[in-house]
Amino acid sequence: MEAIGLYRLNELVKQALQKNLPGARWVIAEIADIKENHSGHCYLELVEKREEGNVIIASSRAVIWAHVYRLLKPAFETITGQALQRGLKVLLEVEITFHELYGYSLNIKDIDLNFTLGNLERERREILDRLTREGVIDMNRSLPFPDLPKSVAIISSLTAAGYEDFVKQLRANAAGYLFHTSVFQAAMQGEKSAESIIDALERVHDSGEAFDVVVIVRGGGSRADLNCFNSYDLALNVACFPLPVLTGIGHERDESIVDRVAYKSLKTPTAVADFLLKVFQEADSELGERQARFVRAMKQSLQEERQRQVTRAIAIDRQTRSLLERQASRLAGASREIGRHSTLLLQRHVGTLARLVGLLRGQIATRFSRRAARLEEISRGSRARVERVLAARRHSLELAATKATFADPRNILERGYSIARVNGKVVRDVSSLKRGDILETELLDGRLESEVKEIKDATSPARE
Amino acid sequence: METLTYKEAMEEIEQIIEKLEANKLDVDELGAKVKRVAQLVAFCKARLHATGEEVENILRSMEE
Repeated sequence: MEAIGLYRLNELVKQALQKNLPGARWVIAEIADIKENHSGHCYLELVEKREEGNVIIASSRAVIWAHVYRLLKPAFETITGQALQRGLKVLLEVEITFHELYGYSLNIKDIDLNFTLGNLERERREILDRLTREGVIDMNRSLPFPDLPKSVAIISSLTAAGYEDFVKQLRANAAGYLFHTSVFQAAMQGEKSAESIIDALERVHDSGEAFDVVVIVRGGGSRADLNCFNSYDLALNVACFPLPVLTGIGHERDESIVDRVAYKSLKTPTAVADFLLKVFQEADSELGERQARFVRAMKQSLQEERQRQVTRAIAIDRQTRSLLERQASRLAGASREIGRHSTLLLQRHVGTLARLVGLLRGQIATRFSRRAARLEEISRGSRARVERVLAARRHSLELAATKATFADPRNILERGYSIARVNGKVVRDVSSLKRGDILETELLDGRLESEVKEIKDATSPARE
Repeated sequence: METLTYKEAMEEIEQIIEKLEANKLDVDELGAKVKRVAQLVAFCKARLHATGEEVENILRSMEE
C-alpha cells in the first residue's frame, strides 16, 4: 500500500464526511466550555455524558461564527432567561466540518430554544420537587419575621447597580428610620455566582452579628445571568438559612428557584428596601395608634376617677352633714336634759336656800325680837328716867320761861310797870337822879317825858 | 428590662391600655403607668429611628 501524506489523508476524510454526512443535522449536546473571541466568534466544547456516573462518552469542538452568534446569543438569552454557558444541554443544528489543519469541528447554525426552555423547565421542576421532597422548600418562608428588621446583611456586589439602589432607598426614608447594614460581597453574575453567594451566606452566618434579615440584591443586569438563582445548591442554602432571606434580583418573568424558597422575593432592590421600610411604617403607625389609644384611655380613666371623686365627695358631704346633724340634735337633746336637770337641781338648791334663809331669818327675827324686847325694856326704863329728867327740866324750863316772861319788859309793862330812862339810861335807883332831869318813861303803848321834881329814897320791892 | 424587645414593649403598652380601658387600673398606678408607657414608647421610637447605640442608651435610662 502506498503511503500518503497527512494532508492527503485529511483531504480524504473531509471528502468522505462531505459525501456521507452532508448538510445540517440536529444534535443534542452539553456545553462543556464556551468562549467568545475578540472578533465575535464563539468557540465551544460539546460533550455527551452517560446518564449514570456523569462520565463523558463523547466530545467535539464547535463554533458559532460571529454573524450567526450576533443573532443567536440575544435571542437565546431573551427567550430562555439564561446565557449559553457551561453545563447547559442544548439542541443544535450543526454542519460537520473538517479542516485539514484544524480537524473535526461542528459549525453551529441554530439552537432550538424550545428544547432549552423545556429542559430548563424540567430541571426547575426537578429541583423544586427535590427541595419539596427534602422538606426544605418552605423552611425560610416559615421563619418568624422580625418585628423590626433593623439589622440587615446585604449580599451583593458593590459594583452592582442594585446594591446602590437598595442602600439609597433604605437611607432616604422620610421618617428617618435607621438601619444597620453590612455588606457581604459576592459575585452576582457569572458561573461562580451561586458558589459565591453561598459563601457570602456562610460568612453572614459566621459573622456573629445579630442580623435580622438577609437581603440578596443585584441590579437588572443581563437576564442570562439569572441562571445561578436556579441552582439547587444555592436554593438549598437560602431555604435552610436561619434568617429570613429577601431577594431583589431583578427578574422579569418566571421567578427563580431562589426567589421561590426565599422568605420574600421582590422584583427590584428598591422594592426590597420599600418592603423593609413598610414594616417600620406599620410599626410606627401602630405605635402612634397605641399612644393615642393610651392617651384616650388615660383621659377617660381620669375623667371617671374625677367623677367618682365628685360622687364620693358629695356622699361624704352628705354623710358628714347628717352625722353633724345627728350630733347636733343629740347635743341639743343633751343640753335640754342638762338644762332640765340643772333647773331641777337649782330649784332644789334654791328651795333649800330659801328654807335656810327662812330658817335664818326666823332665828334672826327671834333674836332680833328678843333683842328688841330687851331694848324696849331698856329703852322704856331709860325713857322713864329721861322723862323724869325731862319733866324736871321742863319744869325748870317752864319756870325759867315764866321767869323770863316775867322778865320781859313788855310783860312787865303789860302788868303796869314802866321803864324810866335818863339820857337813854335805865334808872334803877333814885340816887342817880337829880331834880330837873328829864325822865323818859316807857309804857306799854308809848313813851312820855317828865321832869323830876322830887326825889324820895325808898326800898324798891320791884328790884329783881 | 435589659432584654426588652420591640415586640415585648408593644405588648406591654397594649396590656396597660387594655387594663386602662377595662378600668382595672388603680388611681395610684396611673402616674407610674403614664411614665412607663412614655418610656416604652420612647424605646419603640428609638428602635424605629435610632442607631443601636442610642437604643442602648434608652435602655439604660429605662433601667434607672
